[in-house]
Amino acid sequence: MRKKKHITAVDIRSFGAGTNLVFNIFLLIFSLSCLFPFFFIIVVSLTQESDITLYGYQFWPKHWTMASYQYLSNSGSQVFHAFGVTVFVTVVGTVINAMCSSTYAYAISRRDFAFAKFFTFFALLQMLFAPGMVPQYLIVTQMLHLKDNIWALILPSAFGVYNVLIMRSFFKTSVPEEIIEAARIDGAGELRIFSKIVIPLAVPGIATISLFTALGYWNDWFNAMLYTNSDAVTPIQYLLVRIQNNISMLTQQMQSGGSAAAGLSQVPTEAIRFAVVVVATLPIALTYPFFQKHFVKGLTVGGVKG
Amino acid sequence: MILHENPSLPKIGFFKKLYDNRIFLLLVTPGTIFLIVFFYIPVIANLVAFQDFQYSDAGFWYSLFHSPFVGLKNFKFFFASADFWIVLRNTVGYNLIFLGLNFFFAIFFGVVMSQLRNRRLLKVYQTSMLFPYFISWPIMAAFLYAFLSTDKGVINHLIQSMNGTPIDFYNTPGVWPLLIIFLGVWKGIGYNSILYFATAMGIDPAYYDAAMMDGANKWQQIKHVTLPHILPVATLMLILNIGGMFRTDIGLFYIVPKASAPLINVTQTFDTYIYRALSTSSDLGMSTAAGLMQSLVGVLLILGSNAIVRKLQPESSLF
Amino acid sequence: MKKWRHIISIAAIAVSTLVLAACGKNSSASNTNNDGNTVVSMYMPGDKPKNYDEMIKTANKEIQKKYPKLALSMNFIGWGDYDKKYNVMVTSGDAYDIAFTRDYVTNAQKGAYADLTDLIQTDAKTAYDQTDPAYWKGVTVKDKIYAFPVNANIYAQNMLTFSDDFVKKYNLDIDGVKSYQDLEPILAKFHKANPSVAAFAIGQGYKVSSKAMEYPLGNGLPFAVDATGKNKEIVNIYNTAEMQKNLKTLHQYYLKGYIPQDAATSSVQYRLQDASWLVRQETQGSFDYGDTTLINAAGGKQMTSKPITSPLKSQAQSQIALWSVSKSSKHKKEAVQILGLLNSNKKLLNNIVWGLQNKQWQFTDEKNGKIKTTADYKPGYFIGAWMMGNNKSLYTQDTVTQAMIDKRDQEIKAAKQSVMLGFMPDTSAYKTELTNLSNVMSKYSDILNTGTADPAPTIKRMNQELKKAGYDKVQAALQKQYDDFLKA
Repeated sequence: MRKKKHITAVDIRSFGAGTNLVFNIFLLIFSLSCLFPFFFIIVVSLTQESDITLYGYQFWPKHWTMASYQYLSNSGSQVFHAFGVTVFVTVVGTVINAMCSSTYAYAISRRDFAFAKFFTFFALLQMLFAPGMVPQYLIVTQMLHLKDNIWALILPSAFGVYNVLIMRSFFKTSVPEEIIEAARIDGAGELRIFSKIVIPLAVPGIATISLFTALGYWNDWFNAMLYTNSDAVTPIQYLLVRIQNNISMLTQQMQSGGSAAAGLSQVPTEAIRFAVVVVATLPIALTYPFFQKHFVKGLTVGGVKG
Repeated sequence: MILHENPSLPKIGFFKKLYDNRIFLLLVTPGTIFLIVFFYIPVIANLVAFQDFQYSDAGFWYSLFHSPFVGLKNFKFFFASADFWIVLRNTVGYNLIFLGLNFFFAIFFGVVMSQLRNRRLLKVYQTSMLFPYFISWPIMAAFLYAFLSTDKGVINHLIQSMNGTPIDFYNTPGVWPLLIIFLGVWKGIGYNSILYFATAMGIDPAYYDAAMMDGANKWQQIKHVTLPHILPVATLMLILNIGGMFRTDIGLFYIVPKASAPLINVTQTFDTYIYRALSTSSDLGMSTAAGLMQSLVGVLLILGSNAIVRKLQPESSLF
Repeated sequence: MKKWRHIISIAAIAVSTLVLAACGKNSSASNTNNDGNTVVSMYMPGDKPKNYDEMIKTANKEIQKKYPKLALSMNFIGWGDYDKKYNVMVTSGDAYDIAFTRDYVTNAQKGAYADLTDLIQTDAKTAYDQTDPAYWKGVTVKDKIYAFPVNANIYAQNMLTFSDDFVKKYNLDIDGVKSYQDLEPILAKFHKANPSVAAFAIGQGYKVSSKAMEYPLGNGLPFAVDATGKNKEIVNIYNTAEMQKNLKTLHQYYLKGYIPQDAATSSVQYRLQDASWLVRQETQGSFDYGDTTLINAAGGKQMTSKPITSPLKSQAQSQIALWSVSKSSKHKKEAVQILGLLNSNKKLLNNIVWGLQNKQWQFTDEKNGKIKTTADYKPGYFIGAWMMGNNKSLYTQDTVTQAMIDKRDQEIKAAKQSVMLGFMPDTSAYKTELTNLSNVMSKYSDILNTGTADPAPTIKRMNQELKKAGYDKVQAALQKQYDDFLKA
């Protein structure tokens, strides 16, 4: 007689112990490879600038220094402020995007929405064509009057077709029509169905697209470059890109024999550039676990409903 | 509920349809406004691709609607290059390889991670795997340079200490296809796998329960439960990514190889070609035309692949 | 509860977007600040000075002495983004007033700028007269002026600049250096003694100079013409004997290790003040008072420069710092007034390019315009003089003697004008060929100019590709336009 092993929730969806170990090692190695460049970035940010010019980027610099971070803390208010801008834009933008994308996706995922196909097409077209920098600039600055306004960083990315499609897929697969039919028979209105039944089921989906959206907002510098000028609305990534572009642009100018006085003194050092990368990346990368909690939540919710 | 549509009163039928669907329409309103404002209006400006754009003091829109049309003249430069076939080969070749590898690894990692026993370690792995996504290509280029530089690179230092002759990496085309493919795939794995991980996590354990009752082992479970559940999302992503077949990331193909001329035959793609071509004369009509070309190919590919998917797996198709 | 929140939030977003869109259409940009003054907006590359608020207040006080209802507002765009943003502004017909110009000739020909010819005569005559006529020649397109040039180094020479520390340390004889070839013994001696430091510090983007050649389409394309006028043909610079000799020399230097091996792809900054280079190439004009500007920029490090090109008032130099007014600007007249003031009013200009009086500098001899900088004079507290206004109006540091000033003026007077000055080719019919040519050049420019490639066979290959890309067609068109230009 076979002894039935006590099956835990963990067992149901996990490897056996042996396989688990193998994959753990594999993932460990891979993760280290992903972290390695970042360690390098940290090291360079702590290297003395003259060493960089003389010896290039080293993995163990001859001279360690906190100079870059001191510089950053001196122009501290600018970096802090850029942080604030980025956080605000990311949070608000993600919320708006998640809401708009989910509602849109839900509508087009429903078989009894007569215009579903039309609106699917309507959104899809955006994937295929690039609208062009200049007209977007015109719309944001002249039609919406958002030049140098923090909303210029939020609104242009406040709706994502990718997100819509992913959510539509989630809705279709994890919200079977039967549940909706049952609720309708019980007398619930569409909106109540949406908020009380569908949304809880789609939490993993929402968490996923929220993560992607948040990452997108965090990393975005293009909108900042195009629509903003003043430091008050500069996000941290744009600060970094600006420094990087300055470096390469001025270096090129110097190489082609440009005027030495042409802003030579304004070029920040390589080490500082890397320090900004560290400061800009760490916070968001470390918030990932927060999102991941919600993927896992879907497991329990789905289980109860099952 | 209307039993027959009275053909002589179509308007009333339409408005009734609107009314019946009013909640849904409300739900799509924000997105629709966004699309109109930020996409449909600006996309009109793609007209420039067919014009010889003239400035006027009445502003851009005036110029757009009053500049002379020159047909396909702005598209010529795209095709007239002697390098056209090399560029085509590179762009499509790399993208096909990326498509295959990205998908394989993203799904592989996503599924594996969803099956790990230790949740806390999992968070550590996933967070680590996200870091490459944050490292922009200019930084990666600097990192790579530290390894590959002829004078100061780590690898060449090693070679020299063993009395070998240093390798001029930025002059040696042979090694770059592999390097580019590796970097491109490696950078995206963490980010790409999240979607499949989340999908896999959302699978109702009842399915696994049932499978185990049927006596399936771990691999059979994955094959019969996990993968089928991931398939719709994966197909969707596949179709969408196929639309980008003519697009490449300048960061990877231009900045990482440091725009090195000897490497051009293995690194020149449509985007880098356009970038180099328009570097001394940035012309709005030409750059728009180039972008349109890429989009058009993308559209055709999406339509094509969607049609194929619709035949095989109607639920997963885009439309 | 959740349902209502949903409805409300969705509705709110929809409504707010609509409201934004609606009010966008109604109000037009009215450019008056609270005091009822007309604000002239000025866009320039660089970072906003830390003392901007005070600086602009001082500037406006001075401006309002002559134009009581005018105020200036400066907007700064990072160097690295300036080209892109400028392009967008110009293409979108943005109603900026003044902007630091890029792609002057092309944009002017396309009609992106306001015609300033008459306005300058009525509202900026003093400034006009104080600017070297060579500048006006260099910005006239089809008999009209579309930009106000900054009078500075109208002529400049390319120099080989040496780091004095190394020169003294290794006892290098740099007196007779007049060409790339003369560098040989110096580089050899230095490289032997100190192989880890870049002897000739060049990198990606570097271009070898010829004694007196000008580039009608910029030095990214190979079309060049003799600036002295002896030869009237538009040639491929890489086919000239002088260039081929220089490239051969550089190739030798590369093989011997005087030039960094990764020069063709290198973006290393050899900062002036670092001990990471022996000799580099710089551009210098009279307003640099010899090496004074360089030494100041390097924080006092001593350097010596030797010229390798002829002093000619060139087209390229005349277009280094131009300020244009947008065709859609609503304050064209006011913009020209401000430009005129910047280029003639000493107090206004100097409180920008040196920083603020008594903060970054003080008078040592007010009557003669001599000043001394304080410890607070550092980057971030002033805007570069080379791009701001007529350098002749600048106060000079007390280290600059009257003799130096006289020498400077004499040199400028003596310098000849390049024959090509004023030649504005119209290439709109050859856009396709030009893009293909650019592509070809991007393949060969760096490896040739940094000495990485063996010139003779490489140039041959390059010429074949140039030919396929339409070189001959463009050359013929340019030649014809140039011949017509010379006749006029």
